Amino acid sequence: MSVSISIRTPSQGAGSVRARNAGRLTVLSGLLLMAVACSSPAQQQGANQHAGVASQQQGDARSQFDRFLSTAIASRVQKIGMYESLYTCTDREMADNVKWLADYKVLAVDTAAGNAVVTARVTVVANQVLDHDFWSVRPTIEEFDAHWRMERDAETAGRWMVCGDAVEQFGVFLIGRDVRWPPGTSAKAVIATIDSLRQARGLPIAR
Amino acid sequence: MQPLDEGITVASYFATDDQVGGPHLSESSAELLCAMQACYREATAGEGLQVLAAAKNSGEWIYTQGGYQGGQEVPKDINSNVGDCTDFVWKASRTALLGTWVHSYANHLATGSFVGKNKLSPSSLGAHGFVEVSYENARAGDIVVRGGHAGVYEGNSTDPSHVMGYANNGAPATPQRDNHDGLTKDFDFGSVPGYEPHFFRQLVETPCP
Repeated sequence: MSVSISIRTPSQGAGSVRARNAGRLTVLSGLLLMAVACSSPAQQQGANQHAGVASQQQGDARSQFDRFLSTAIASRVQKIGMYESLYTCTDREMADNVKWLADYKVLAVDTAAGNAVVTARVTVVANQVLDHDFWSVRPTIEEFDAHWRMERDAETAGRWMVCGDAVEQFGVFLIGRDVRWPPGTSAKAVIATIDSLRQARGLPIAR
Repeated sequence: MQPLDEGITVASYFATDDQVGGPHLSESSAELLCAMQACYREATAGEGLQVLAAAKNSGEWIYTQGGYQGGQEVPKDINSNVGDCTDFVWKASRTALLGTWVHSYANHLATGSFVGKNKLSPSSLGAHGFVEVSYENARAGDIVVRGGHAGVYEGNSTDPSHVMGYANNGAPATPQRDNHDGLTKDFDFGSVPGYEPHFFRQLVETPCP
């Protein structure tokens, strides 16, 4: 099989972005054709199916994880059952460190069989920690990458679900009977911060 | 630190870093400490079996954290087997080692004091009646903690991914979910990605040498 690979440098094609992208597409298509040419039709079909399944798995896990973190935005009204189809492994909650989430971006989803590790960049507006018999909350603005594990098995009815706390050992559920704020701060003020941060980023208010 | 198998004094066992260079004891308080001095040793294998038996004989528990996490659930009543997983292991230890494991319920530890970012230092753990032991040295009756769950280790694990403990199973009510009261029974505390089982042995009082 002969493969024509056309490479354009930025100086070619009068510097047109479209032309450069066309060149990249040609290279990618060529590489793909070369890869396909190295395997038999049966292998090609198997490889395509495998890639398709992996892609589908990642898509399912990403979609579930996206729903999980979206539900965890701290300005949402807390309701019984809101994490019902999204979260499992309650025995792995440490429940002594909660972060109030304002925004997130899913960066990566790595799936293998019934397990997945998801990386997300989170924007946090308050840290809540257990202080003996009560919870102490301090407003903040932090952005960092965190990781969660997901599982999909018979116990989750074949659905991808987030398993326990973040790998970095914090939860995102707003919990606590006795939650105390420093003078001049409040849950209402933190929720207003979440709203204004989301508006500034062009995101909808989360309720 | 001195070997824990031997009887050691409360002063040497519970000395913490922040006590070093701290205020000196007055003569009267030093006399009081001498009068209150007690020695401790690790629970024996036989005592461990008694702890496990106490756990298994305690009957079915109702799992609750008494609304501590902000949900609606029944209050704790340890005498009536209504509590969470660490209440269960406290009661089993207390029942089996009554008279030598003297830690009151007010002094009992939650899982976050055993493992995780906020776990206690060895000396603080000792002051609450426990010392951590390795998987290889763990035996029946030790407390096993993985993540946010605790139970009484049943011993004889040959595979770290399968570590059976007897536990009061369930999940507390939160604003987002109802209480789940699971059965009081075996639970596999084996290692899973990100969560290793940790083992803790009771420190019991012993006559000072």
